[in-house]
Amino acid sequence: MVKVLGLLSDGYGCSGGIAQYNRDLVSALSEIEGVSLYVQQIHGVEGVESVVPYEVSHSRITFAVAAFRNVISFRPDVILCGHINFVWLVSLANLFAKARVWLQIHGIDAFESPGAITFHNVGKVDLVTSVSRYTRRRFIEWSRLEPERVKVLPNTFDVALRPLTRNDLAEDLKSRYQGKKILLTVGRLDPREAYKGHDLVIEALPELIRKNRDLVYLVVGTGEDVHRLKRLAEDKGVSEFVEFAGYVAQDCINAYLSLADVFVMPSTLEGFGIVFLESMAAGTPVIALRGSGSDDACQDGSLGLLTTHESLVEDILSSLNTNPSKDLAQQVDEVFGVDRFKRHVRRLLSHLERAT
Amino acid sequence: MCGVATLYNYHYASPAVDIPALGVLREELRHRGPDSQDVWVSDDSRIGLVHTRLSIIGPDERGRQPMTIDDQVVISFNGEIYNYESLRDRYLESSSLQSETDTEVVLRLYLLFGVDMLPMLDGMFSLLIWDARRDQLIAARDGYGVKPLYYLDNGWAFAASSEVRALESTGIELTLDPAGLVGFSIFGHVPEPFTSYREVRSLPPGTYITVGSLGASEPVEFADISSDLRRLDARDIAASENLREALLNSVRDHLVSDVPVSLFLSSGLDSAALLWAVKQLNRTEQLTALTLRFEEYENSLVDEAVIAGKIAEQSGVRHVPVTWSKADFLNHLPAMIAAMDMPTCDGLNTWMISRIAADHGFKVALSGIGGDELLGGYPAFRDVPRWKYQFGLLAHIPMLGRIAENLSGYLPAGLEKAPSLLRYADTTAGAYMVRRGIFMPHELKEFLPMELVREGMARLDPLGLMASKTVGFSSVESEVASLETQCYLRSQLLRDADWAGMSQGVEIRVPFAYPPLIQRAAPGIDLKGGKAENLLRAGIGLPREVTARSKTGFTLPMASWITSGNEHWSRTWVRQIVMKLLDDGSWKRELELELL
Repeated sequence: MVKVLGLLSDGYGCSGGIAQYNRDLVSALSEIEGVSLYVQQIHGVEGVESVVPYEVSHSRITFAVAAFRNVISFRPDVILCGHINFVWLVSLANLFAKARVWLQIHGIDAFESPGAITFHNVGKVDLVTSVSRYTRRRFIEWSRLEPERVKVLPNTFDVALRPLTRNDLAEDLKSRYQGKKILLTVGRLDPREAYKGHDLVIEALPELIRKNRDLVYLVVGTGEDVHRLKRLAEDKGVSEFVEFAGYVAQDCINAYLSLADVFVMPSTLEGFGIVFLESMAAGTPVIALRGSGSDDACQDGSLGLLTTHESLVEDILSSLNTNPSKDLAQQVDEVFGVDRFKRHVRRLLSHLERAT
Repeated sequence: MCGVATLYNYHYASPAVDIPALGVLREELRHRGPDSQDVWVSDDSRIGLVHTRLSIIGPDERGRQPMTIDDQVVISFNGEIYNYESLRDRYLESSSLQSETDTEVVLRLYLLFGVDMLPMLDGMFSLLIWDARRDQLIAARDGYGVKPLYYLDNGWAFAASSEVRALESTGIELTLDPAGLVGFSIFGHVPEPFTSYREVRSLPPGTYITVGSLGASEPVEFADISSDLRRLDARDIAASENLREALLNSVRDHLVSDVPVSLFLSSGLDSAALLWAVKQLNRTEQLTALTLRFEEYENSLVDEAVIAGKIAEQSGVRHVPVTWSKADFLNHLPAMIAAMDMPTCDGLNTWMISRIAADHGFKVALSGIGGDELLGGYPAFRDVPRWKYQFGLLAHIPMLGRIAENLSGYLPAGLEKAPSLLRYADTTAGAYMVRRGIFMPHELKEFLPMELVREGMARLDPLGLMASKTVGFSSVESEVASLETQCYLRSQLLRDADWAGMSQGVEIRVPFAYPPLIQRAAPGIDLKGGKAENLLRAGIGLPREVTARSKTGFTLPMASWITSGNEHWSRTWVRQIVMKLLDDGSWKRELELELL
């Protein structure tokens, strides 16, 4: 029996890419024979359907207290540290368990050294999994950890996502966008995540609209940055072509992804970008900016189109005018499907158990 | 000796290997193996192996690589295994062999023993073995580190090559390593395991790694040169004659070849000792001695050819002295710089003598490299213990060294490093760094950005890196031998011999840098006695002319040819290269013109 204690930031009862990733990881671990798993989260709500028992702490202090309590009572063999900011806590609590530590890093939080304490404690970690090569490279640069200890475990995506035809969509969606070409971005509109590239698309709109009057730029997601983006659209004289759809529940997202003609998110600092996978799983081609974790999601250009600042307009136009591959959903499943993800998680756990 | 490379897209999300990229790798390594160049790709296109061949043993078509046995295992091998015949006779049935090569013996031993066969191999090698049965790649390197192997793992793909610059063609993003730049600035070479690039590392000698679906493992040690070198601490005078037999055995092993062999003969002790061994083995008829001489030194005291000619004549070996002028050197300088794999402040002499060997039709040459490190031949064997004694206590006084270093700018050229003794001479590693260093750490900010120096020093940790090579030795002299062997010899001389020789299609063999020789001879060596004394006490016959004069090695009139002014040429050279690298990432273009 291998006992795994997961200390996660987001998970059950949370939205967003990190929460989805953590749930997928927990689910994959729970399916491994002989693994007993317990999870504590700092965000989320209790009572959501889950594959393992979990608790939510809501504050840093209660989270830290719960970590010590769980380490002492659960006596884990492996502690899964779901966020780099928890490394110090895991190190300290682990004095009572001597468990192997598995750190998961996601993106921007691991790009630069968060400080001396984290730097010191990262050196004690047995295994790091990074969501992408880019995040891994940025992490290794400052952490000076042996590269062999840092593996890549990419996102997978919800198996329920599938390509929908126009007939499958709700009437209001169908009628609202009848005859339109839809450019879509899905992501949090957080001022701290302004790197996602909504600005770049809005700035490109005047030229895109000149070539295609039927274009609509649909922005899904909520956050404080929406005001700035609306102002930018007004300044550029394209506000009538930009629709801010706000929050869309996960069970409705498939419709939006399938509705779009092209999904574009020219993020400059993306850790990976699970939405690229989700979009392709929904049959919609994607465009990302080359040079960050998006390279992985687009499989270096084999699955999605990687563009540059200079070529963004040209590439969007050419994607809008190209019929998407009918096999796109199947292709993305063959590369990033959940079965491959689970197999890799199994290998990683087995590798961690063997590590000295 | 050959070129090897691989691209292995091991991660499940990674696309198949880029076949044209394998072709580019092959072309990048063509100079290392002019006789044949081949690429092997697995059926699922996840992995490709590259091999360029300089055929020396079993040179016919059956020895082509990458070599496979029943598609179960595939090897790309660089180097020579000197005991392959005895291993073959002991473990393999001759009828099962398809070639006469050491490579096939290595591969069949792998089938029998897996990685446990690595400690059985005596020789210089780097190898890549794809094991289809386990979906696993093995990469390994000899214990002394004679043959290089560089690798990178970006989380999806693994790549390895005999040369760093070949990895530039893989399409994997590479960034300059501050540790490499700082290391080169201090030592004149990039110290292992660092390279010019942050992402690329040198596989530690005597280790192997496995690469599977999770990427590269950490290196696993199968041979430890440190433990061989610790035998130097025995100082058993009764065993001093062991060196004689060990040298004879080593030279006998290093003469294994199906093509003619040459010897780089200077007027120094090492090459003379090798020639003595060749004569004892009655193999002089098979050998040609080559000597590089310089026009402006002709018939002077530093003319290598005068004494070399006498030694060769006494031994009855064919001798070919070749004279180079300043004009010859300058004509070839761009080609020499182009051939360098990583920045270095040495190796030009080896390039020239290798060129002479190639011009005379030789693919194999014996070199005396390694003798000074093992037999106490360098000044460091005298200076480091003396400096520790004289300055060691002063170096403990807080801030004294730093204050002295701040005043170093007022010292005349040639004494810039002296104040650093007051900071570093309390340890063997520190005193050794002052002895071998070109620039001291405090000088780097004069031509490198402060932030780069800070990060480079933190990553490199030069004192820590060197101190790790002195663990477990009981005398300062044996610590110096370890440092000379595991730092200077490995990261400078052997690496330079590799790129310089291979750029000319010449395999340079180093009988003194051979674990069986160290294991046998080390207990009887007296490092305080010096090289000549050790050789003579072992009964190795050396001509009086050689022992009577101080060691000159391959002396180059380098200073006057490529630089002017009071500063030592190596400081000018290093500074120019580093500044070029920071400027545009390419240090080779027009470097020679600026130096001139």
